[in-house]
Amino acid sequence: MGIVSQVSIAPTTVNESGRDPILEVRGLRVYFSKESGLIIKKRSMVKAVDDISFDIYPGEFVTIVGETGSGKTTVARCLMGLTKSHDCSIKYKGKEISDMGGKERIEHWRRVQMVFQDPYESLNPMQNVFKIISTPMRLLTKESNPAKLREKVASLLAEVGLDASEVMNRFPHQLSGGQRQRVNIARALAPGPELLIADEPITMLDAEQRLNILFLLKELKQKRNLTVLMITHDLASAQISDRMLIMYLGKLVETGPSRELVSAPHHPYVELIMESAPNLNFDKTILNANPLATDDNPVPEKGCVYQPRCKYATRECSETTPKLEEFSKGRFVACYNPLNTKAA
Amino acid sequence: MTEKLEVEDLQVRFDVGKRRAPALDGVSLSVPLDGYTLGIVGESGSGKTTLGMSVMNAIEPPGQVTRGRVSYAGKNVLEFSDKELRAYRWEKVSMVYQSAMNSLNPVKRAIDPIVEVLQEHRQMPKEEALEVASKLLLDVGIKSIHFRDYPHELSGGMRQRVVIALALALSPRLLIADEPTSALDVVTQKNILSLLKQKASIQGLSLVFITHEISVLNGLVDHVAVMYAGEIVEQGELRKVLSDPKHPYTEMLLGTLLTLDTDINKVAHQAVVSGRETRADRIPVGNLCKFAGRCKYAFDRCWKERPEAREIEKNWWVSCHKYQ
Repeated sequence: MGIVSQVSIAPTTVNESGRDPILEVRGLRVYFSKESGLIIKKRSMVKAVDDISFDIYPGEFVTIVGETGSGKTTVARCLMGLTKSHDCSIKYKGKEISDMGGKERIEHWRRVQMVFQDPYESLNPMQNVFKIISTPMRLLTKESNPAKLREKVASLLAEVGLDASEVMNRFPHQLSGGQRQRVNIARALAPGPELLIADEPITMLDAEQRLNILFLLKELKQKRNLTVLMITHDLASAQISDRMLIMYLGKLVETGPSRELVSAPHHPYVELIMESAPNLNFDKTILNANPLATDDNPVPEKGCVYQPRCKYATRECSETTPKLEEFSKGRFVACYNPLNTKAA
Repeated sequence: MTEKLEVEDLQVRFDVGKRRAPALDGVSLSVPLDGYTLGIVGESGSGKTTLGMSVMNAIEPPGQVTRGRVSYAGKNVLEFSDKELRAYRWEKVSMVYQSAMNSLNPVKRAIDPIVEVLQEHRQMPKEEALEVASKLLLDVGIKSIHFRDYPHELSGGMRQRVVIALALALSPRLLIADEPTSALDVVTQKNILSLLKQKASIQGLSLVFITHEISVLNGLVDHVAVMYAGEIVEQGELRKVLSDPKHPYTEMLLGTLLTLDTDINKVAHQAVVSGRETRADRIPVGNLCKFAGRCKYAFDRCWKERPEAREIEKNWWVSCHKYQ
């Protein structure tokens, strides 16, 4: 895969507390090159992530919210060091991720773990639950005593709400979606990470299980003093987090404390997804959207990425790209015509 | 009297491996064919898709209908001959499948399948079929520049629109949509739902919308049937059921729902951090309420006797011992 990454001089984003951030991301860009055309190849660049910067502080529960193709998973993969990002700056506890060598990288994986999206695909079908959870423990924490491993796996399973005696020797196909996702979380917790990245952990689950897994994450965060970065496309479930980062087509468009952001969004894109989200309020949803509205999200050549869909767009929006700037305390927005300015 | 699609006491089994619980167990439904809109909601494995497939008479081995009937305007669909089925599927009742996003032939252009259907079923010459197909695509919001695109060149929402146009091509009386928006973003989802709603209200098309997310039904359908473990546990007008759910399962479903209006701290007590949950192959079999194991109101009788559907108010049916 062709990947081009560059550093840019980025504005510092959040600096709300005196603490040092656990994670500092500066000017992250990931471009994938794309070939099109059957005979005559045309090469073009897809800007999966385009110059984003943010900080995450220890003990925070942060969500990245964005629609399909907005680049949220790519960000997570960069943080894990799974997608190579040569020149940009991602610092974990002050240490540059791309500079890490073999041993340091393994230590990084011990400290930063990821729960992948699809609970049905991301567990090895040939391994039982004990094997799935004990392997990272064995490799990353150098625990090799079988009896101790068994004991540790059992206590991890209990921590994620599973009955160890029941599931320890089962294979993934014998578990339900919710149970698999719990095993996935237990596997990620096995090496004792400090930062847990959960990529759409609840998308494939039923309503009840969604809620359970969300609160499980929250509980783990409190009990283990974990920092959690959750990725989701669902603004409603992102409300469980302390802070949200909203992405649109590879850019951060708005960030801020979850509750304030949802009660008075500044960016027109956030307003749009809030209006479109299904709800149970009979007076609100009348499905009066234009049924013939286009489903394209065109990427403009210059200016604000959201401008082609924005109903508030002005001439300025199509000419220069707005920067993510602090609008009020702790709230950042990249928009020339922010909304709800009085509420803030 | 308006014609109806009726499902009576339907039981469908997939007896594979250890799974002995029927996928559908005694389901009865009635859908008038005059613009009636029904939402079917339930968690994965509750039998929603099996119900849709049964209505199309598309249950394949190892699945089999072991009891009951599906009738369209009085005739039993399950006993149709191939010829009758051909005149029934897509012409009378059509279905947008769950994976509709991926169900388009990757080597056919967007307009091709619609043209083919019109040529086959309506014996139209190609030029006329092209014209009708173009109109159908424009009608669902596909611009003419995309008519000759291949599926991979279309966005998810556009592919879904092509599939909907295909399902509407032979002007059926009933459209069954099985989770058509589950893989789409909220904005696209709203557009597609608005499209379906417009088709139902303007063309008098009846709609059965299958989903696991009860909130998408708001504003789209007038009636709802809640399914649990192969049974319809509650059925009634959507507004009434949503504002005052009677069955404990419906209550739980609404209690655990997250919308932007939800105060997340208030639903916290609903969350079960322990991993107890039911799976289709562990659903209790026998003469009892299948929800009893998860129900906070369960009492003795629930474990000993299967509750019958009872009409607690006009056209509001609940299967729960609480109301008997």
